[in-house]
Amino acid sequence: MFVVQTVSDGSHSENDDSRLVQQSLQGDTQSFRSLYRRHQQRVRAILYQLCDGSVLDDLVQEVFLRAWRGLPKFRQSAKFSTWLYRIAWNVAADYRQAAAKGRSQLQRLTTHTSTQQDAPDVMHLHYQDLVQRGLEHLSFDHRTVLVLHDLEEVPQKDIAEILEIPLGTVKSRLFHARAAMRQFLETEGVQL
Amino acid sequence: MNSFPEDDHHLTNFLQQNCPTVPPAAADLENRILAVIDDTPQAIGLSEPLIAQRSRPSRRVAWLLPSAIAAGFVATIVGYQAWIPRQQPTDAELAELETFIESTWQGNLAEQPPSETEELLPLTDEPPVN
Repeated sequence: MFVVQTVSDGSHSENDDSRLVQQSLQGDTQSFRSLYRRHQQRVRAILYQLCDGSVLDDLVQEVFLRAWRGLPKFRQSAKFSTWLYRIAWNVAADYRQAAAKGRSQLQRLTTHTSTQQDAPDVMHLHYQDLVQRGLEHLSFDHRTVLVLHDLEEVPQKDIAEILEIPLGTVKSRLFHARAAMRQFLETEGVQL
Repeated sequence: MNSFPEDDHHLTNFLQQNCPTVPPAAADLENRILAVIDDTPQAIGLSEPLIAQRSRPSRRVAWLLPSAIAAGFVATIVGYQAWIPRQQPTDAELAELETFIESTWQGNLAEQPPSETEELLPLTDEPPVN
């Protein structure tokens, strides 16, 4: 049976997040644990789709560590998830920059294709590989917007806030990212 | 005003259905992170943007330093020329110079042959009168 990733429905109450943030600010690490449990899956998915799986646990740890350290500077008027995704994006960008400079010698792990399926659907695996390669084919800016909007279903307004860019730029990047992804898929024989 | 289409359902559905499966976290990751957090104090006022802002004054100093060196160099040269008076020739040197000019001037005229002097006459269309 193939395990399909469930996308978070975004139903987390902002009030609950706010309360947990307040308690975390008072040193309550169990409240921060709750924040971790509420958001780690989406943070993990974003990091995986922007980087790779070989250092995923380390990157997730870095995101939540930065969040813990920076919590006193978090504006209570903002959405915690938006702020957290901004940190995740920063961590991903830092990691990619370091990797590009050769400071990190990485090998891609392919365990996700061999450990999670009891009876793998070959075509599905093929399409997953295509999507993965298509994402790698995009520039980091286009990839980020496509991942956040089309895969993680983050609203465009929130993406503009996360990336600190105008809403029009989000729309433009999304348009070009989709066009590039569609073109890549077509060259690989996928007609949509 | 928006020239970009909002939705591309076919592509979006395809991407979501075939999104690469995220590898599961290590079993102890949550406890590992919480253990690190237990030992990490929350930094007051040390978010990343502020750290970036703090680095800006040092950049200013880095730009000011070569500018100050260049300005000092120019000021030194200008000041040197302004404060050091130019040496005036003495009366003896002036007399010697005058004598030299007179002697060389006369020598030039005296050594010039008459034929060459004639060759320097202005050219005209009229033939020379002999």
